[in-house]
Amino acid sequence: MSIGILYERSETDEMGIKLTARELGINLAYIPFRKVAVCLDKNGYSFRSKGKTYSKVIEDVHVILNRGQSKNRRLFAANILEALGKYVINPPRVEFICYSKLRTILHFWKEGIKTPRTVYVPCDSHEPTMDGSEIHNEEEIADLIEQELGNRDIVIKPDAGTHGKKVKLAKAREDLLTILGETEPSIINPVGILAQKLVQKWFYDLRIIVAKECGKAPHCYPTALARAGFKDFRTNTFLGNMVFGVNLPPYIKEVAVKCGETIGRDSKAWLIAFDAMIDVGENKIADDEPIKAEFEKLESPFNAVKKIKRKGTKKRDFLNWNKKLEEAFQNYKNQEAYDNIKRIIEESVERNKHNILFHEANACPEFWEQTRLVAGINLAVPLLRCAQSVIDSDYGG
Amino acid sequence: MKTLEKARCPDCDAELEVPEDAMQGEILTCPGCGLELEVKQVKGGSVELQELGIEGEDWGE
Repeated sequence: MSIGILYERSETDEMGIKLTARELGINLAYIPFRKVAVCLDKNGYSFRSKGKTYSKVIEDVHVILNRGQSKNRRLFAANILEALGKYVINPPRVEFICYSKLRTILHFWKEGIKTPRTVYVPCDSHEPTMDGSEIHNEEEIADLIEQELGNRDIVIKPDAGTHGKKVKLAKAREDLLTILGETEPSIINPVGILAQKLVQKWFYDLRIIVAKECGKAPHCYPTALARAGFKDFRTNTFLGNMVFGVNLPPYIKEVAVKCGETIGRDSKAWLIAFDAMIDVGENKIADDEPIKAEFEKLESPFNAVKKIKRKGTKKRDFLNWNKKLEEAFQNYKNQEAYDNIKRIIEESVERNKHNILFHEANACPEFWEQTRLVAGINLAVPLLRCAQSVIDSDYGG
Repeated sequence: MKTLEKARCPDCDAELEVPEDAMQGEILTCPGCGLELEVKQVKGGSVELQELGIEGEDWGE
């Protein structure tokens, strides 16, 4: 019995998983999940593209790493594969919860894990009526949100959005009404409005990795990826923010494990990346201006990293591209300014660790380009270990 | 159908048959996995293919 990997199209993460598997002597079977037909009938199932049948490939694998980039497609893939008798990493339960920011927060809140102050209004901003006109609900939704969160610094985010896309900050009611007016139901925000009170997180947030192998307790990696910058209230790396590998205090690792247990519950093996913010408030340990100056010193080496990340050759010449990326990141990490900012973040995290707020869980985290090279965690290794642990458990290793 | 030099799909490694009259900008689909590839250049008997970027609904995390 072996391990499979499923995706619509490979990105560097999937190429990295395949490379790591090769280095570990694991033969990964590839299963496409876009232009294929999954057919179910009384005789069983078939899984075919136009030119190839994958049914036998699926029969021969026991565990499948679900690396579909689209959340919706990934959720279907998890459900289909589980119905076909496969163990999927991550299992459908984990995918389903991680799909939605609101569902994730509900699970944390039920367990007493601190989250940002959150409001959900199940009504859309505008609704078409039977006679072809439209009802506008912006004013009432704004009243409902302000009733709970006050009238300043409110973040509106799509429930299933990624990369900080369409996450907007309303500093006052006028902004809130404009944002609500622009918010349409969509695939990343099926219904209603999700609002949160802006967390005074200073200039960074954390991405924390927790994994569980079959038969073992969940493990939180001691280093997190801090995403940092003063450019925007959103710290997503997709928006150009810089990244730092920071050591986590034991308290935060314990809470992260609890987050994992809450979402993974009875599943045998899983791997989740959690996004967390620390409500630093006024408890800053340094002035902003000298830190901004340190960021400026890092601009050039980080731009060199970004330039390589953008290169069109990354898939065609993966090994060479990867080597160049590693060198560029090493140069970036060798800067004194990198150490200075990393130290400030670590000190701030330690001092404010009890104010950590968990707000998002990612079932298919990107890792090859940043988490691996900055936080030192090649997620391909725990993913493959998790898969192998399920095989060992089910087939006696 | 006459074909040019064989190309391989970057995702599933399947062999792709590129028609001899393939033109720059033409889109080919891998029969193995369905990946779309754009013909970037046809020179002599060889062809340069590049994966076509698709705007996904919620790519990545």
